[in-house]
Amino acid sequence: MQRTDIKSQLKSFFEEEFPNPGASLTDDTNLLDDWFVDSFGIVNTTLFLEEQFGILISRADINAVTFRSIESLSQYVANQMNSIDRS
Amino acid sequence: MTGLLGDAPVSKKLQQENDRHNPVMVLAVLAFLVVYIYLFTYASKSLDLPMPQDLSESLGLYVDHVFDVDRNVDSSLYVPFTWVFIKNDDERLVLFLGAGFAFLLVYFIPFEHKQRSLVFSSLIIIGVLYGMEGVSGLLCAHSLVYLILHPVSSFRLWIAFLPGFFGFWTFDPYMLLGSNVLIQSLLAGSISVLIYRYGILRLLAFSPAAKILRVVVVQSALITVFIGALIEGWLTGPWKLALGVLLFFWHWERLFMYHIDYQDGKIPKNISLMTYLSVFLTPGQISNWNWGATIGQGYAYTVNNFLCEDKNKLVMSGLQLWTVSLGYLIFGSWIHAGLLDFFNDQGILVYGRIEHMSSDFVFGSNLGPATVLLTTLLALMKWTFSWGGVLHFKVGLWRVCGYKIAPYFNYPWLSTNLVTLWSRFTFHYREFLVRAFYYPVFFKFFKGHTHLRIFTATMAAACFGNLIWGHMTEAMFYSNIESNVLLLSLKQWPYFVLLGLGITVSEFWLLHKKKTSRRPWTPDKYIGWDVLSAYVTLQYFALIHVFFYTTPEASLSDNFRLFLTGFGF
Repeated sequence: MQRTDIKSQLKSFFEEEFPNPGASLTDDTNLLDDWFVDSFGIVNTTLFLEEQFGILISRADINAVTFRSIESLSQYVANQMNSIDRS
Repeated sequence: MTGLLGDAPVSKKLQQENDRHNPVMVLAVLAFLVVYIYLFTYASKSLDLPMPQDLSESLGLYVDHVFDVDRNVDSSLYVPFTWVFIKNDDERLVLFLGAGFAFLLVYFIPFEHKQRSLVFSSLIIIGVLYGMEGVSGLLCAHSLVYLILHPVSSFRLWIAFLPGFFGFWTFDPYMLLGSNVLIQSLLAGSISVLIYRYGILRLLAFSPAAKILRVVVVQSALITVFIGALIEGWLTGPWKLALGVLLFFWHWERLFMYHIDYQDGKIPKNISLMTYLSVFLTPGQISNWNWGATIGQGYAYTVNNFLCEDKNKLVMSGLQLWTVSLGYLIFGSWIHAGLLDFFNDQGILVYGRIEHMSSDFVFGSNLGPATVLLTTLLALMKWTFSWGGVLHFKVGLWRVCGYKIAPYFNYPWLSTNLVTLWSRFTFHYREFLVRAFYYPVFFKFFKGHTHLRIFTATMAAACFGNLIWGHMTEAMFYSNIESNVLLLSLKQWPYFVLLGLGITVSEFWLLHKKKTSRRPWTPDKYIGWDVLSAYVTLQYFALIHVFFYTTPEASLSDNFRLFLTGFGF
């Protein structure tokens, strides 16, 4: 799956799951500052990522670097998918 | 919300840019504190000014349930566990003056000393309010934790002197009056250096022992509660904690969060003792020390939110919270009493306290659903006003001192489901339960089984963690470390189970409900559903408190019958 596809699916998910009328979500929007509400937002996102992309997320991956933006999160998803493909 | 996941600390350059003075803000903070002093202390009497009730009556405003017998405003804002002063009013005066001192110091002192200044001013306020035993107990316990979590510190052997030195004063502060006290405390400090150098450091070099030691210090409150209850139950009388140790135990949940940050590698190993202390010792924690004990959370949240935006903007947001706090503190009891009178005038029996209703029910009174529903709802409302007033003051003080801390209490009556209510009612405590219990279960068990995964994680946090780590220990710190207190607190288990189940159901609903871009409380044709959802959410949360605020004579069956009465059975 291409990075652009991953980004597109992430964007749709965030806009639908955490609607933020009046704000526009870009690849670089700070998800932690400007989009997520709290730690339950992370839980829902985790469920989505695991189901949609077939990856497994560990607690150590729940950090501000990974979840900073769609850009960083899509990179993480792509890496996880690659590591699954290789194994 | 940057600190939620422990983002990288905000840059020093940005913090310095945010450190610009504005005299108007300084005057505004001081003016607010003067209002607090006027309303909630004896200061006006000392200055020969009209007391708040006199002033109110001179303006033609005669209101009940606002003022207390000494004619100032009755308040839930207080300083607990201190007997240095006779009156709460005096303690509040020290608190407000201390808050002003801490604010001026942190506002004007050069940037590199700001967080240290908050430790310094906190210790001064604690010293005045709790005496030397409070200060020494905190310093003894925290320096010990620091030495075990950060054994690579440059000055560790010097710091190892502190647990013994302050420990000596913690357990018998009146020895300070003796002639040999200095020699004895120096000797105790020297012994603690030797114990650390030749005992603890060697254990810390051995990985399994280091791990056990770290868990022991972080879980010391829970361990103390269990051991204390066993000793009381089997051997001797109640175990009385030294005041400073008790104050330290009220830092316990935050220490837990600190340890999670530590395990996640978010804390530099060689941070200084002062940086460590700045996480725990802030003026915002002092009023109602035991309420909202998780505000500030652990290291990452505290450090990342200090001066992360313009400090005057932070001060302004703190003052906004103080304004709302005043509203809750002044009018909470008045609104509650007015509603009680209203319903009772309509012929609907409504009790002022759930315990009274529980007692009457156990002794044979026939209560209807309206009585149960309204009593629990109004009791929740009263508690909410007190809770909101105090928590807004505390978070406001954190903000005034430069921390961008999320509101602990955020209009819970706007919650349209229990997941939101949990967050809006006790945000930082909920974050503690999620990070300490929810995440470890959620990311480890039942992957691939979404519902089972959510159910177990929620019950681990809202039920198990909340009951054992959050409630049971606190119940014993409030009362005595006795086995019967432990058993009584565990008797409230149905409240925690029903809370966990309610939140689980809400999570399932949120997971599967049709997603729309509509936000709750948008003024459109669906707003009626928001009102109904909010009522059902609050009523359920209020009703399960029949298992919490129960009379000691009530059996489990009595409580369940009362609970079901609320549903009309």
